[in-house]
Amino acid sequence: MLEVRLKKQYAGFMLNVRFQARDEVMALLGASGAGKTMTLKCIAGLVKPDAGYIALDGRVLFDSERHIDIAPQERGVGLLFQNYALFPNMTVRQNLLCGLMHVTARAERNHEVERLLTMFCLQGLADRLPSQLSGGQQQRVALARCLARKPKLLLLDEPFAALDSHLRWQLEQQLLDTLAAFEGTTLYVTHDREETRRLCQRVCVMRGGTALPVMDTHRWYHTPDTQSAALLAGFENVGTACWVTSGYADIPQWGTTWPCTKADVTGVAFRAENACLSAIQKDLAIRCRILRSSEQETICAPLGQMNTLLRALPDSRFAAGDEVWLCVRPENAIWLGREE
Amino acid sequence: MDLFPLINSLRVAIISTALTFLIGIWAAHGVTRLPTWLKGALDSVLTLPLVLPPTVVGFFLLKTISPKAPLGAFFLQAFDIKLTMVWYSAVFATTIVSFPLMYRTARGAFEQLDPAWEACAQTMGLGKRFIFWRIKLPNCKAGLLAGTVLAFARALGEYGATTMVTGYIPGRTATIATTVYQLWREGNDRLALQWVLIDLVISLAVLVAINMLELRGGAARARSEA
Repeated sequence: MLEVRLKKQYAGFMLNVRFQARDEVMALLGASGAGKTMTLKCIAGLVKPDAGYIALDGRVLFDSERHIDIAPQERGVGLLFQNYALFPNMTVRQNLLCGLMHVTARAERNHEVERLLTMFCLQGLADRLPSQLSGGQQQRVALARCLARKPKLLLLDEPFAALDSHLRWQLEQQLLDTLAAFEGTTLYVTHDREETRRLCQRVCVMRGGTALPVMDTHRWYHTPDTQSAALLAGFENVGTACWVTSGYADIPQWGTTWPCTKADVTGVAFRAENACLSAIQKDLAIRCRILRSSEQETICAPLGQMNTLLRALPDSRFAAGDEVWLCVRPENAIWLGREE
Repeated sequence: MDLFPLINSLRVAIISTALTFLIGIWAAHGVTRLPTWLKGALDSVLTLPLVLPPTVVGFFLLKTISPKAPLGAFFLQAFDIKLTMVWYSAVFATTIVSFPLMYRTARGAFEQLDPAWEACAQTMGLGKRFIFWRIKLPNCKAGLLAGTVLAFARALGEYGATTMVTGYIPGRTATIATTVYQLWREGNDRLALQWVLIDLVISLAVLVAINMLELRGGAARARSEA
């Protein structure tokens, strides 16, 4: 269990993070510059927060009030760097040995290295230098080196950022196996929503240096409760709505009124993948004109609202300029409430 | 032909290079860890001997180590050691003059290291000493060697500051540089030319060595980036 509360002031930027993580894989999700990596560095002890409290399994790592600041060497936290930070002057074996300097007996240390090499399928590469490895192999070495010290907490900083996309899927499966075998908390920094859904049980969204409340991944992705949450969860279509008469909400931007039972509604959202085009009105519909269509999606604008863009599934029956109904099934339209 | 100037030049250059190697690396490593404003200030001071005329360095040295100056007087009284007009006086002069070359090259090499290596090593439980000796130093080897060779070349060719603190005493303080000047003044162009050629050969060898080191360093960098 990891408990983090920290504040750090930079020129024009305030890091304000507060969350708890169990023995799980938790995503720190946010755009670049949201403070994700800085948060990891604070937890690892590489950067000192201005104020705050960090505890891992009941052991206090940092407490500004009690002036506790454990050195990174003593924290028992493994950090996987975005570029893997393998020491270029050392072979794979020597890199792994660096993670085992706490083991005093040489025989035991060598035995540990062999175990790690086997575990991460690196036997044939033990005497190679990092520059002689592929990106995926480098990642495995870095992960093995990270786990050599048996950390209680694993911090992964965009582990796939340095790799080509066609390599990712397979490596992701390996990483999932490793994480499943790891007993402890894993914080997974990413800006990729799909990666988050595949790898993480819970999500802590970060925005402009601030960490939002932690959410279950499923809930975060499928049922956001505010407009900003919907945008962060990747809903392509988000509009402002207000309740008019019993059972209806007016959505002026989209030029429509939809049935709605949520009295305190402030907005509505749906995904492009749940929006299809139709010549006749059905379900929840918006009268639109198609602006552009491609292999991947159709872009249209509500009639009379040329500045509002809506994204829907591609449909070869229609072409740019056509007037169509954009239809969403009621269960796919998420009604949003007031921002906290 | 008396080879004393060659031997003297070499011993002075070797000793002062050893000193600048240690002090230069120590200073460079220290400076890279300082806050930016202090770094700038200290950097200027440490680079000063590179831009000052060597005679100015010699002047300051004499004001410190000549028998009439405080440090020189102290050494003379306490240990009966003269700090000027002896062969090792040249070591002081060449060390100061060649120091900025070692310092700046080493600093550049340290700054090129990926900061993630040190950070990562810390989270792995590795101490400062291990990080310095086993990670930082080996990874800027090419830069440090280039700096060393450059400092050696400068020390070997130093004239201005050296001549001010050692004078020219044949067989005792004469270096190649001071000998060439002396021989030219005496009109002994033939012998002067011989020393000029010796100096040319040594300097060329040093420059070729630097080029080879830089090529190797560049190749290593390209490999690690690829």
